[in-house]
Amino acid sequence: MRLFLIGLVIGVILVFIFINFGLTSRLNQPLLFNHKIHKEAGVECIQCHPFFKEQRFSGMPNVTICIECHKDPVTQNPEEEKIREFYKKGKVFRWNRIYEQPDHVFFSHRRHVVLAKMDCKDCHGPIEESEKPLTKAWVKMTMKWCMECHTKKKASNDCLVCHI
Amino acid sequence: MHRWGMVIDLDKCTACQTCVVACLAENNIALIGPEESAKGRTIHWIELVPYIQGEYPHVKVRLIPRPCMHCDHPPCTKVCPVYATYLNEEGIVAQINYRCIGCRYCTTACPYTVKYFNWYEPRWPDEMRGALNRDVSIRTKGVVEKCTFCHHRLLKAREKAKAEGRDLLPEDYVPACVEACPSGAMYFGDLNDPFSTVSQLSRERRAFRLMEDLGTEPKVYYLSEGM
Repeated sequence: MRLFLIGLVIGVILVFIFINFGLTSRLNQPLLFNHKIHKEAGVECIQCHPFFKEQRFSGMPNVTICIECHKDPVTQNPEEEKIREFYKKGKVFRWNRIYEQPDHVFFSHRRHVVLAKMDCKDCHGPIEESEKPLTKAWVKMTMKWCMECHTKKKASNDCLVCHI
Repeated sequence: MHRWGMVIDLDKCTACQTCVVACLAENNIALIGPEESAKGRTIHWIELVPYIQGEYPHVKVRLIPRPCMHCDHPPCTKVCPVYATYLNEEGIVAQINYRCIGCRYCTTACPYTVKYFNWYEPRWPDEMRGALNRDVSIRTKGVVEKCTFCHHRLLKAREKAKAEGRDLLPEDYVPACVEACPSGAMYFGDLNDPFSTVSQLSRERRAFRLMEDLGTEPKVYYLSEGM
C-alpha cells in the first residue's frame, strides 16, 4: 500500500512536470525576426516568401535573400549581425515550422492567394504586427476552420478537394 | 459538370504494363516484396487481368488492364460505415485514406476487386526515397486505397487553367496511365460532353463494360472486336 502511494505521488509530480514543460516550451528560431519593422520599412510579404503566387508553398527566406538588404548594417541590432555571420560561414537558417499541413492535406497557396484573392492575414492572422518570432500558432488550422471558410466563400467542401 | 470516364481499346493494347508502372510511380504505391506478394497482398491501382478463352490446345489469353471502374452505382460506397469512400459530383469514386478505419467492407463489396488494403506500413527501396510524388499522400498501415483517376492532377490542372483565365481543356487532365500508354490504347475525358473522344468511343459498336449485368454502371469502357 505504501509503495503504491509513493508511486502515485511520483506519477502525479511527473505529470505536472510534463504539463508544465509542454506549456512553457518555446519554438526556438535561429533569428529573432521582427515582422513589424520589415513591414514598416516597406518590405512586402512576397519579397521574403517568394513562391505563394506560383506554388503550393510560400517559401521561407534564407540567408541569400536576407543578405540582399543586410549586406551592410542597417541598424544597431545584434541580431542583424547574425545574418552576415551565417552568410560568411556559408550556413543556412533552419526555421522551425509553425504552420504545417499534414501529408494527407493538399493545400495550395496559389489557389488561395491568386485564384480566391485572399489576403495572407486571412489565414495567418495579423502576422505583420508581430515583433518577435511566434512561439506557437496564432491560428489553429483545423479542418472545421477550413470548412467554415469554404462554406462562407461558397468553395467546394468535397473531401477530394483537399484530401488525396 | 464533368463526368470523367476512361476508354481502353483492347485491340490496340499490347499488354506491355506501362500503365501499371506509371501508376505505381505516380501514386506512391508501396512495393511489398516477394513474400507478402505471394500472399496476394500486392497493391495495384491498375492491373492486367488475364482473360482466358477456349480450351487446350486452342487457348487464347488476353490481358485486360483494369483500373477502378468508378461506377455510377458503386457497391463499395454503400457499405462504408464512415463515409471514407463516396461518389463525388464529377463521378469519381473517392477514397479518403485518412478517414478509413480499415474494416475492408468495401474491398469485399467491390465486384472488380480494385480496392486494396494496406497490410503493412508502406516501404520503398532506399534508392526510391527521392522519387516519391509529393502531390499524393502516403497511406498508412490499415487503410484501403484505390485508383482515384489521378485526382491530384485534376486539382493542379484546374488551378493552372484558372490562373491562366481559361476553361479546363480536355488535354489538361489526363491520368498517369493514359499519359504513359505507348500504343495510345487508353483515352480519358468527359463523358458528359457528347463530342469528347471518350464519349464518342463509349457509344461505339465495339464498346462494352465489365460485368455490365451487375448494374454498377462503370465509367471505364473497353473496346474490342468480338468479345
